[in-house]
Amino acid sequence: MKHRFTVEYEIDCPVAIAVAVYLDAEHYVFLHKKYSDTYEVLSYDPATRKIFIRESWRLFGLRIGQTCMTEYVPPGEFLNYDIEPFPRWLPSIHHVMKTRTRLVYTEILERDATWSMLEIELDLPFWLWPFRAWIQKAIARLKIEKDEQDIDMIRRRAALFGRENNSIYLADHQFILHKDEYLKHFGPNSKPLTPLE
Amino acid sequence: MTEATMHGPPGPADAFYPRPIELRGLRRGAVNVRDLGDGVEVVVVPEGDGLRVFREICPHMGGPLSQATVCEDATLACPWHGYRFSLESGRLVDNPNERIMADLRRRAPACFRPEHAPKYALTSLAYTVVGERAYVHRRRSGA
Repeated sequence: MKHRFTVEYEIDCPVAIAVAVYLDAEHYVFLHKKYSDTYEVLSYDPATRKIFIRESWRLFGLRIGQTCMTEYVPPGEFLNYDIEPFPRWLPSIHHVMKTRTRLVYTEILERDATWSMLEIELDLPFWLWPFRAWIQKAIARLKIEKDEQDIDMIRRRAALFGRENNSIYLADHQFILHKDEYLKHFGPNSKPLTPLE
Repeated sequence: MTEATMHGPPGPADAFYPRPIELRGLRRGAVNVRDLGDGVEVVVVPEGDGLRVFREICPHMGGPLSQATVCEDATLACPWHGYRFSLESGRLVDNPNERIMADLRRRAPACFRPEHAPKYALTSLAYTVVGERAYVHRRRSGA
Protein backbone atom coordinates (compact mmCIF):
# COMPACT_ATOMS: atom_id res chain seq x y z
CA MET A 1 0.00 0.00 0.00
CA LYS A 2 1.55 3.27 -1.11
CA HIS A 3 1.49 6.42 0.95
CA ARG A 4 2.81 9.56 -0.74
CA PHE A 5 3.39 12.96 0.78
CA THR A 6 5.55 16.05 0.30
CA VAL A 7 7.55 18.27 2.62
CA GLU A 8 8.04 21.67 1.02
CA TYR A 9 9.16 25.14 1.98
CA GLU A 10 11.28 28.06 0.90
CA ILE A 11 14.99 28.20 1.64
CA ASP A 12 16.33 31.74 1.72
CA CYS A 13 19.29 31.31 -0.63
CA PRO A 14 19.93 31.07 -4.38
CA VAL A 15 19.49 27.61 -5.93
CA ALA A 16 23.24 27.53 -6.68
CA ILE A 17 23.93 27.65 -2.96
CA ALA A 18 21.23 25.12 -1.98
CA VAL A 19 22.51 22.61 -4.54
CA ALA A 20 26.13 23.20 -3.53
CA VAL A 21 25.33 22.55 0.12
CA TYR A 22 23.61 19.28 -0.82
CA LEU A 23 26.57 18.18 -2.94
CA ASP A 24 29.09 19.26 -0.30
CA ALA A 25 29.40 15.78 1.16
CA GLU A 26 32.30 16.83 3.38
CA HIS A 27 29.88 18.29 5.91
CA TYR A 28 27.55 15.29 6.22
CA VAL A 29 29.13 13.54 9.20
CA PHE A 30 30.33 16.71 10.90
CA LEU A 31 27.50 19.23 10.75
CA HIS A 32 24.93 16.40 10.84
CA LYS A 33 26.84 14.11 13.21
CA LYS A 34 23.81 14.04 15.54
CA TYR A 35 22.11 11.83 12.96
CA SER A 36 25.00 9.85 11.50
CA ASP A 37 28.71 9.97 12.30
CA THR A 38 29.96 7.65 9.55
CA TYR A 39 29.53 7.95 5.80
CA GLU A 40 30.96 5.26 3.54
CA VAL A 41 30.90 5.01 -0.22
CA LEU A 42 30.14 1.42 -1.24
CA SER A 43 30.02 2.00 -4.98
CA TYR A 44 30.10 4.90 -7.39
CA ASP A 45 29.12 5.16 -11.02
CA PRO A 46 30.09 8.56 -12.44
CA ALA A 47 28.20 7.91 -15.69
CA THR A 48 24.82 7.62 -13.97
CA ARG A 49 25.75 9.86 -11.03
CA LYS A 50 24.71 7.08 -8.66
CA ILE A 51 26.48 6.61 -5.36
CA PHE A 52 25.62 3.69 -3.11
CA ILE A 53 26.33 4.74 0.46
CA ARG A 54 26.22 3.47 4.00
CA GLU A 55 25.43 5.87 6.83
CA SER A 56 25.83 4.55 10.35
CA TRP A 57 25.96 5.54 13.99
CA ARG A 58 26.67 3.90 17.35
CA LEU A 59 23.84 2.67 19.54
CA PHE A 60 24.44 0.66 22.72
CA GLY A 61 27.91 -0.27 21.52
CA LEU A 62 26.68 -1.47 18.13
CA ARG A 63 27.26 0.24 14.82
CA ILE A 64 23.94 0.41 13.04
CA GLY A 65 22.61 2.33 10.10
CA GLN A 66 21.36 1.98 6.58
CA THR A 67 22.53 1.65 3.02
CA CYS A 68 20.98 3.76 0.31
CA MET A 69 21.31 4.47 -3.40
CA THR A 70 21.66 8.17 -4.08
CA GLU A 71 21.35 9.74 -7.50
CA TYR A 72 21.86 13.28 -8.72
CA VAL A 73 19.77 14.52 -11.62
CA PRO A 74 21.21 17.91 -12.61
CA PRO A 75 20.68 20.66 -11.99
CA GLY A 76 18.57 20.44 -8.84
CA GLU A 77 17.11 16.99 -8.29
CA PHE A 78 18.23 14.30 -5.86
CA LEU A 79 16.86 10.77 -5.54
CA ASN A 80 17.24 8.30 -2.68
CA TYR A 81 16.02 4.70 -2.92
CA ASP A 82 16.87 1.06 -2.20
CA ILE A 83 17.18 1.83 1.50
CA GLU A 84 18.18 -1.25 3.51
CA PRO A 85 19.11 -1.67 7.17
CA PHE A 86 22.70 -2.19 8.19
CA PRO A 87 23.58 -4.74 9.33
CA ARG A 88 21.04 -6.75 7.37
CA TRP A 89 19.95 -8.76 10.41
CA LEU A 90 19.01 -5.60 12.25
CA PRO A 91 15.30 -5.47 13.06
CA SER A 92 14.26 -2.41 11.08
CA ILE A 93 11.23 -0.88 9.47
CA HIS A 94 13.19 -0.88 6.20
CA HIS A 95 12.75 -4.67 5.98
CA VAL A 96 9.04 -4.20 5.43
CA MET A 97 8.69 -0.63 4.20
CA LYS A 98 10.22 0.55 0.94
CA THR A 99 11.07 4.25 0.84
CA ARG A 100 11.79 6.39 -2.17
CA THR A 101 12.45 10.11 -2.03
CA ARG A 102 12.80 12.81 -4.66
CA LEU A 103 14.09 16.22 -3.61
CA VAL A 104 13.73 19.04 -6.11
CA TYR A 105 15.19 22.53 -5.75
CA THR A 106 13.64 25.18 -7.97
CA GLU A 107 14.34 28.87 -8.22
CA ILE A 108 11.99 31.51 -6.82
CA LEU A 109 12.92 34.25 -9.27
CA GLU A 110 11.40 37.26 -7.52
CA ARG A 111 13.37 36.63 -4.31
CA ASP A 112 16.37 34.75 -5.71
CA ALA A 113 15.47 32.01 -3.27
CA THR A 114 14.93 28.24 -3.46
CA TRP A 115 11.74 26.21 -3.26
CA SER A 116 12.58 22.86 -1.67
CA MET A 117 10.13 20.08 -2.40
CA LEU A 118 10.71 16.60 -1.03
CA GLU A 119 8.39 13.93 -2.38
CA ILE A 120 8.28 10.76 -0.35
CA GLU A 121 6.74 7.47 -1.35
CA LEU A 122 6.32 4.79 1.30
CA ASP A 123 5.38 1.28 0.27
CA LEU A 124 3.84 -0.12 3.45
CA PRO A 125 2.47 -3.50 4.47
CA PHE A 126 -1.20 -3.36 5.50
CA TRP A 127 -0.38 -3.64 9.18
CA LEU A 128 1.78 -0.51 9.08
CA TRP A 129 -0.88 1.47 7.20
CA PRO A 130 -2.54 2.78 10.39
CA PHE A 131 0.83 4.23 11.44
CA ARG A 132 1.47 6.13 8.20
CA ALA A 133 0.71 9.56 9.72
CA TRP A 134 3.18 8.90 12.54
CA ILE A 135 5.87 7.73 10.09
CA GLN A 136 5.20 10.76 7.90
CA LYS A 137 5.59 13.08 10.87
CA ALA A 138 8.89 11.45 11.89
CA ILE A 139 10.33 11.70 8.36
CA ALA A 140 9.22 15.34 7.99
CA ARG A 141 10.71 16.25 11.36
CA LEU A 142 14.06 14.67 10.45
CA LYS A 143 14.12 16.49 7.11
CA ILE A 144 13.32 19.85 8.71
CA GLU A 145 15.89 19.42 11.50
CA LYS A 146 18.71 18.62 9.08
CA ASP A 147 17.68 21.46 6.78
CA GLU A 148 17.72 23.85 9.75
CA GLN A 149 21.36 22.95 10.36
CA ASP A 150 22.14 23.59 6.69
CA ILE A 151 20.19 26.85 6.74
CA ASP A 152 22.19 28.07 9.75
CA MET A 153 25.35 27.34 7.75
CA ILE A 154 23.95 29.11 4.66
CA ARG A 155 22.97 32.18 6.71
CA ARG A 156 26.35 32.47 8.37
CA ARG A 157 28.19 32.10 5.07
CA ALA A 158 25.89 34.68 3.44
CA ALA A 159 26.66 37.16 6.24
CA LEU A 160 30.41 36.57 5.94
CA PHE A 161 30.94 36.18 2.21
CA GLY A 162 27.79 37.37 0.47
CA ARG A 163 24.49 35.72 -0.35
CA GLU A 164 25.38 34.52 -3.85
CA ASN A 165 28.99 33.63 -3.18
CA ASN A 166 29.53 30.01 -4.17
CA SER A 167 33.20 30.46 -5.06
CA ILE A 168 34.47 28.01 -2.46
CA TYR A 169 32.37 25.25 -4.04
CA LEU A 170 33.75 26.15 -7.46
CA ALA A 171 37.37 26.33 -6.33
CA ASP A 172 39.69 23.76 -7.93
CA HIS A 173 40.70 22.25 -4.61
CA GLN A 174 37.23 21.92 -3.08
CA PHE A 175 35.66 18.49 -3.31
CA ILE A 176 31.92 18.28 -3.88
CA LEU A 177 29.91 15.44 -5.37
CA HIS A 178 29.38 15.54 -9.15
CA LYS A 179 31.43 18.70 -9.39
CA ASP A 180 31.62 18.68 -13.19
CA GLU A 181 27.81 18.82 -13.39
CA TYR A 182 27.64 21.53 -10.73
CA LEU A 183 30.16 23.66 -12.63
CA LYS A 184 28.17 23.16 -15.81
CA HIS A 185 25.03 24.58 -14.24
CA PHE A 186 26.17 26.99 -11.53
CA GLY A 187 29.64 28.30 -12.18
CA PRO A 188 31.77 30.24 -12.48
CA ASN A 189 30.03 33.47 -11.52
CA SER A 190 30.99 34.05 -7.94
CA LYS A 191 32.60 36.87 -6.05
CA PRO A 192 35.96 36.57 -4.27
CA LEU A 193 35.70 34.72 -0.99
CA THR A 194 36.57 37.63 1.25
CA PRO A 195 34.88 37.97 4.62
CA LEU A 196 33.08 41.26 5.18
CA GLU A 197 34.76 43.06 8.10
CA MET B 1 36.17 52.41 38.47
CA THR B 2 37.00 48.94 37.22
CA GLU B 3 40.41 47.36 37.41
CA ALA B 4 40.68 47.51 33.61
CA THR B 5 40.28 51.23 33.55
CA MET B 6 42.60 51.54 36.55
CA HIS B 7 45.38 49.68 34.80
CA GLY B 8 44.34 49.97 31.17
CA PRO B 9 45.98 48.22 28.24
CA PRO B 10 49.78 47.92 28.05
CA GLY B 11 50.19 50.53 25.34
CA PRO B 12 48.14 52.84 23.12
CA ALA B 13 44.47 51.98 23.63
CA ASP B 14 43.77 51.81 19.89
CA ALA B 15 46.40 49.09 19.48
CA PHE B 16 44.18 46.68 21.41
CA TYR B 17 40.64 45.46 21.22
CA PRO B 18 38.49 47.19 23.82
CA ARG B 19 37.62 44.17 25.97
CA PRO B 20 40.47 42.17 27.52
CA ILE B 21 40.21 38.45 28.21
CA GLU B 22 39.77 37.63 31.88
CA LEU B 23 42.23 34.82 32.56
CA ARG B 24 40.26 33.49 35.48
CA GLY B 25 37.51 31.17 34.40
CA LEU B 26 39.15 30.03 31.17
CA ARG B 27 38.64 26.28 30.79
CA ARG B 28 41.66 24.23 29.81
CA GLY B 29 41.32 21.78 26.91
CA ALA B 30 38.20 23.55 25.72
CA VAL B 31 37.12 26.36 23.46
CA ASN B 32 36.41 29.57 25.37
CA VAL B 33 34.47 32.13 23.37
CA ARG B 34 35.12 35.78 24.14
CA ASP B 35 33.79 39.02 22.71
CA LEU B 36 36.63 41.53 22.32
CA GLY B 37 34.35 44.38 21.30
CA ASP B 38 34.22 46.09 17.90
CA GLY B 39 32.25 43.09 16.62
CA VAL B 40 35.18 40.71 17.02
CA GLU B 41 34.68 37.33 18.61
CA VAL B 42 37.57 35.01 19.36
CA VAL B 43 38.12 31.52 20.61
CA VAL B 44 40.63 31.18 23.41
CA VAL B 45 42.34 27.89 24.18
CA PRO B 46 44.73 27.77 27.16
CA GLU B 47 47.83 25.81 26.09
CA GLY B 48 50.84 25.23 28.34
CA ASP B 49 51.61 28.50 30.09
CA GLY B 50 49.95 30.61 27.44
CA LEU B 51 46.85 31.09 25.37
CA ARG B 52 45.93 30.51 21.77
CA VAL B 53 43.64 33.25 20.55
CA PHE B 54 42.00 32.82 17.15
CA ARG B 55 39.29 34.64 15.23
CA GLU B 56 36.05 32.72 15.54
CA ILE B 57 35.79 32.11 11.77
CA CYS B 58 37.07 28.96 10.09
CA PRO B 59 39.26 29.93 7.11
CA HIS B 60 37.82 27.11 5.02
CA MET B 61 34.12 27.97 4.78
CA GLY B 62 33.55 30.39 7.62
CA GLY B 63 32.40 27.80 10.16
CA PRO B 64 31.76 28.83 13.78
CA LEU B 65 34.87 27.92 15.74
CA SER B 66 32.92 28.77 18.90
CA GLN B 67 31.46 25.28 18.35
CA ALA B 68 34.81 23.69 17.51
CA THR B 69 36.30 20.81 19.46
CA VAL B 70 39.73 20.77 21.05
CA CYS B 71 41.18 17.38 20.13
CA GLU B 72 43.74 15.31 22.03
CA ASP B 73 46.35 15.86 19.32
CA ALA B 74 46.36 19.60 20.07
CA THR B 75 44.19 20.49 17.12
CA LEU B 76 40.96 22.39 16.76
CA ALA B 77 38.25 20.62 14.71
CA CYS B 78 35.75 22.79 12.84
CA PRO B 79 32.14 21.66 13.43
CA TRP B 80 31.09 22.06 9.78
CA HIS B 81 33.59 19.94 7.84
CA GLY B 82 35.85 18.49 10.52
CA TYR B 83 38.97 20.26 9.23
CA ARG B 84 41.65 20.18 11.92
CA PHE B 85 43.95 23.08 12.66
CA SER B 86 47.08 22.98 14.77
CA LEU B 87 46.73 24.92 18.00
CA GLU B 88 50.46 25.63 17.81
CA SER B 89 50.67 27.08 14.31
CA GLY B 90 47.01 27.63 13.40
CA ARG B 91 47.61 25.77 10.14
CA LEU B 92 45.35 23.11 8.63
CA VAL B 93 46.94 19.77 9.47
CA ASP B 94 44.20 17.29 8.57
CA ASN B 95 41.10 17.10 6.41
CA PRO B 96 39.44 13.84 7.51
CA ASN B 97 37.31 13.87 4.36
CA GLU B 98 40.38 12.90 2.38
CA ARG B 99 39.94 9.47 3.97
CA ILE B 100 36.14 9.39 4.19
CA MET B 101 35.75 10.36 0.53
CA ALA B 102 38.94 8.67 -0.71
CA ASP B 103 37.25 6.63 -3.42
CA LEU B 104 35.10 9.49 -4.66
CA ARG B 105 38.04 11.90 -4.63
CA ARG B 106 40.18 9.46 -6.59
CA ARG B 107 37.49 9.14 -9.26
CA ALA B 108 36.36 12.76 -9.21
CA PRO B 109 36.21 14.70 -12.48
CA ALA B 110 39.23 16.64 -13.68
CA CYS B 111 37.81 19.88 -12.32
CA PHE B 112 38.72 18.72 -8.79
CA ARG B 113 42.40 19.56 -8.25
CA PRO B 114 43.33 19.04 -4.60
CA GLU B 115 46.93 19.97 -5.33
CA HIS B 116 45.72 23.56 -5.72
CA ALA B 117 44.52 23.73 -2.12
CA PRO B 118 45.36 26.95 -0.29
CA LYS B 119 47.30 26.76 2.94
CA TYR B 120 44.37 27.33 5.27
CA ALA B 121 45.33 28.81 8.63
CA LEU B 122 43.36 30.21 11.54
CA THR B 123 43.72 33.92 12.16
CA SER B 124 45.87 34.01 15.27
CA LEU B 125 45.91 37.12 17.45
CA ALA B 126 48.73 38.27 19.74
CA TYR B 127 48.06 39.37 23.28
CA THR B 128 49.81 40.87 26.26
CA VAL B 129 49.00 39.80 29.79
CA VAL B 130 48.62 42.44 32.47
CA GLY B 131 47.68 41.02 35.87
CA GLU B 132 44.68 38.76 35.39
CA ARG B 133 43.81 40.03 31.92
CA ALA B 134 45.06 39.40 28.41
CA TYR B 135 44.85 42.40 26.09
CA VAL B 136 44.50 41.29 22.49
CA HIS B 137 46.45 43.22 19.85
CA ARG B 138 44.61 44.36 16.77
CA ARG B 139 47.49 43.15 14.61
CA ARG B 140 47.79 39.45 13.89
CA SER B 141 50.40 37.33 15.62
CA GLY B 142 53.18 35.69 13.65
CA ALA B 143 51.63 32.22 14.02
